[in-house]
Amino acid sequence: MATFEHRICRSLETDDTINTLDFYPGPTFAVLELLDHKDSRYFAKYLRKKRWLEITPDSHKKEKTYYWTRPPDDQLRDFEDTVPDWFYISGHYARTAGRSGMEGAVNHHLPAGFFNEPFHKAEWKTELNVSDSRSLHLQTEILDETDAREFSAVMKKAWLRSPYGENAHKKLEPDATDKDAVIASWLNLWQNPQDDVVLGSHTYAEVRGVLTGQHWDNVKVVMLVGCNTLTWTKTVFSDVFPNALILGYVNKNPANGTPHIKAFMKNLFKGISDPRDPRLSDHEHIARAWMDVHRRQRLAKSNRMAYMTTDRKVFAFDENDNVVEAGAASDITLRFDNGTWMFSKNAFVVKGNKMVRSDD
Amino acid sequence: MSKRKIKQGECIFSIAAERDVPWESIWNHPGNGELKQKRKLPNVLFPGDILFVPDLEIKEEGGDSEQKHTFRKKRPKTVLRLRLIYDGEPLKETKYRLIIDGHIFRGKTDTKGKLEQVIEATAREGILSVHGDSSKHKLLFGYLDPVETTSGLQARLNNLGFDAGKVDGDWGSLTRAGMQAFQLQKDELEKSSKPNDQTRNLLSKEYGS
Repeated sequence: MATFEHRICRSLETDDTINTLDFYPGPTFAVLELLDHKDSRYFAKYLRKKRWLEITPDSHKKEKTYYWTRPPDDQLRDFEDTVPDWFYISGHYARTAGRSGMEGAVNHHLPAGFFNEPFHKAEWKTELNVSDSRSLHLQTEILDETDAREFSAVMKKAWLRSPYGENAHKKLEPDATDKDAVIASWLNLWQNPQDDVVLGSHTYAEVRGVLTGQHWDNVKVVMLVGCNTLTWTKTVFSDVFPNALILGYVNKNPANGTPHIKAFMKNLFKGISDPRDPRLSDHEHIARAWMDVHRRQRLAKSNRMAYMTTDRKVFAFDENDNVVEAGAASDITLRFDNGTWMFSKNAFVVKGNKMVRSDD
Repeated sequence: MSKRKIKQGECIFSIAAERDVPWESIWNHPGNGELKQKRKLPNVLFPGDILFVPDLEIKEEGGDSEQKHTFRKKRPKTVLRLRLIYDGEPLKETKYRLIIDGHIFRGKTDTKGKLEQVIEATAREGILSVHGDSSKHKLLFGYLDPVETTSGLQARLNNLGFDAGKVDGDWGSLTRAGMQAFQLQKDELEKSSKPNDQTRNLLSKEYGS
């Protein structure tokens, strides 16, 4: 709870001596940080310096709130009553999950959201129990079946890190000992999904329903700093924040997002000193400042920056670095590094009660 | 008669209450003519201002001996008058709670967002809460400096929502930004890097004192 101090005078008997107090504290912001704090700390520091009011719940202002430690179960609930003008949400990003009977849930699944590493592992184990014995779930959102090298790298990573991954290949090929051979067979499966063996890249939100259990009509801008935040589950965010401009990525964001945030803030506040300047709530100005990080500063991976407007349209860079309409909230929007796109409402289909990649 | 150097938080009302003297007899005292000319309003003085405070006048009342006589002493009260707005719009008919010296006052603003409360002339601080606003607002009574001073300018700008930084009397970039934001909002004001009379006058008028 913020406390404001007002120096006032006692009034005379005449009506013209009165103290006028404007309770509007200027723009407010809150930060939900689930992993690396560098970018969000810079964001918050910059805005505080610009005399914006931070209303992040106190429990989330600790530097290491979520990094490799599991938060108290109710800690995220603090955000339910937090309604800032700007919401900064950062961390690993989970797209939707495929489960039995969830046909069409790819871009609508409510629990989708952000999570941190340790909790992800716990969710991974849970998922093993409910999965088909022959299925394998990868910690990845790489879906480019043409990129075998990337696929293999992810598979190896999953193999080494995940308690599930270590033994998963035995389900597919119980006698296999050659990892490369197993990965090759997985890759083949990935490119040619079958009904009896399923590969899915399912990840889950850390705490479900916190950001999706309500509608925040008053939030004007949401920054989603994580990989592929404007690739999956865009409908979820457009439903939750119906009046917000949503800034995010249509591919992996940099491991350290701070340079992007720094450049964005510089663009946003250029020539502006008053925290109440109307340009700071003008979606056009804000979106331009976001995309200028690529157009002007040309930072690494900045060509993956994108935004979604309140009419549920997604805009991103094409291969010629022009900002183009890149689908709608209901689409799956994939941007590959070579600048090509994949838009599809049916990037996945449900077969045998499992979510698999479709062939179209 | 004694001379009194004004401290932060004091004004004619609080001194009058403390010395049991009607405030008018202090303010209209010939010794305060120059101060009156300079500050214009008795409720807004500046720390360091010199005030002449007349001595108590002895008044005699007749009365029979062996009788009980009742004398009633007037406790001076002052009025706290606030106009509450949110981003330019009045907070109409909004419930509020005001805590001053342990007393809780509850009420509702009028249709123009005005709140009026009789308070002790010696009260220094209060906490105001308004329905629908989770913030607490600390009110420092008598701490408002004249608009001619930098601290007076800062306080008025802050109260009107133009963030001028800490009320410390130092003219810095934050104060300048707050003042320029105010100037930008008022078309009739000349844009300047330092406060001019035109800005001060309009600020004082907008603020209400």
